Amino acid sequence: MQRTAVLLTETGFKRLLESLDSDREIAGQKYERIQRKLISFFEWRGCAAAEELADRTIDRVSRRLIEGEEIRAKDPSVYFYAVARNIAHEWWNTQKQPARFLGPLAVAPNQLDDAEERFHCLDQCLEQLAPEAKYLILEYYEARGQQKIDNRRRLAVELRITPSALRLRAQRIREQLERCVLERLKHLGS
Amino acid sequence: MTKKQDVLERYLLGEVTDDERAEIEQGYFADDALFDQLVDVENDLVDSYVQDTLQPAARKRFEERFLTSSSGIARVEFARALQRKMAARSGRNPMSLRQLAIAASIAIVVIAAAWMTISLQRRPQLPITESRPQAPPPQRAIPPAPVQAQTQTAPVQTKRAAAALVTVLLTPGGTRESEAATPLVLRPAPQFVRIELVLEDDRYDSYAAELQDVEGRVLWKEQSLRARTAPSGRTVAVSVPAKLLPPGDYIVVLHGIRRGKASEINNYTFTVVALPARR
Repeated sequence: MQRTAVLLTETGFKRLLESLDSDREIAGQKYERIQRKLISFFEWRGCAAAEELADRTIDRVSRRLIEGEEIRAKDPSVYFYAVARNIAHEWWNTQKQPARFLGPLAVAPNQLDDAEERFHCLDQCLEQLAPEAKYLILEYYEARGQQKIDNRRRLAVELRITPSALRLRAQRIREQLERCVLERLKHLGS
Repeated sequence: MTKKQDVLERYLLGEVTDDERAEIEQGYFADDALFDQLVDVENDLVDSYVQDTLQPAARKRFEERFLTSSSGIARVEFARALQRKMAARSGRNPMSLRQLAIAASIAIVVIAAAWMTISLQRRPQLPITESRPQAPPPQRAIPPAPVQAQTQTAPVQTKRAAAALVTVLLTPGGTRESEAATPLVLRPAPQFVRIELVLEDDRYDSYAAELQDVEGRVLWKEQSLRARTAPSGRTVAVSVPAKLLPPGDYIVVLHGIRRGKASEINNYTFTVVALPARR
């Protein structure tokens, strides 16, 4: 698929936020949430260009809003889902061959030290976290099977938060770490 | 795993019906909590892949779904680093329980021939026998030095098809160009061939191994390997899917990594041969 520039105009973006909530701050939070869901949706549908397709979905929705269409769905994210599903179909129709398994074959020798660099970057990123966050992330993903479940239950009790709040915190920290590691790797490569 | 988690995992692996998929997707677009739960299941799935605790079919599905994009690969690589960090923190070996169980059950058979050592995993329900060494010439020429290490293997035959693992010990060191590597006979093919690479010295933080064919094409690689003490000295072990090893000559190139820099330290060659089918 040709990568096309997706430009969300200021008018389109404003209209989009207004459709999400009358409070601009809450609308911004909803927007970020929908964008995150869209990226995951395309990844889980096996579309290689997930972020671009998410942008395309948002762009299409905002264009429709500018053209006068209204989101009638009670929850606007359902409307985004309907558009995203069409875009996923369109994307798959442009794919002549199924997605190819990229690993673990044919890796260039100069990539051999990537794992080491990644590990060191992770170390550095972990050190940037607040002690509580570092403790939480390492405890949350520690162990396997039943022990992992027991660990998480114990951790929620220890931190006096609900299991779903714990899960959310762990996800946020993990995402933060993943971004931090990628940025450091990019910096090393540049 | 709860029933709900199981459904979410199957969704992520693409194992649900169209109706189920639509229901889950509509659900998580409308419900933030469900989306968070799905992300959590996804993270655990990636961790399970890295820990090698997924069932073979799920593992294959995972690779088809997640290792087809650079973002998916990056996520797996991140999980690998995180697991390594946690393993270092708790002082445990990052090897999976399944791998540990397999490793613990490996029976090492020392062949009387000089330099020849091979071990073979035995499972009670899957008897494996060994035979005397046979040394047919390699089917393809091994390239000239520096790829001239000698394989220290004896041929092995298995009686049944489902042997999970065959272990072979390789030592580095040059041989004369005319000398052929001793063949490794995999019949029927096991799922994995565990290759133990004997180190001349262990002075690196970690190691990386590449399996190459004689034309230098990289068939497989493994990183973040640690040296361990074995009866033969300090070794680095790798487990190669046996399907990557049709009859032919192979080279394992070992890299040492120190302070983030990799350098090639040894080559190990071996030959896989096929025997005529038994009647």
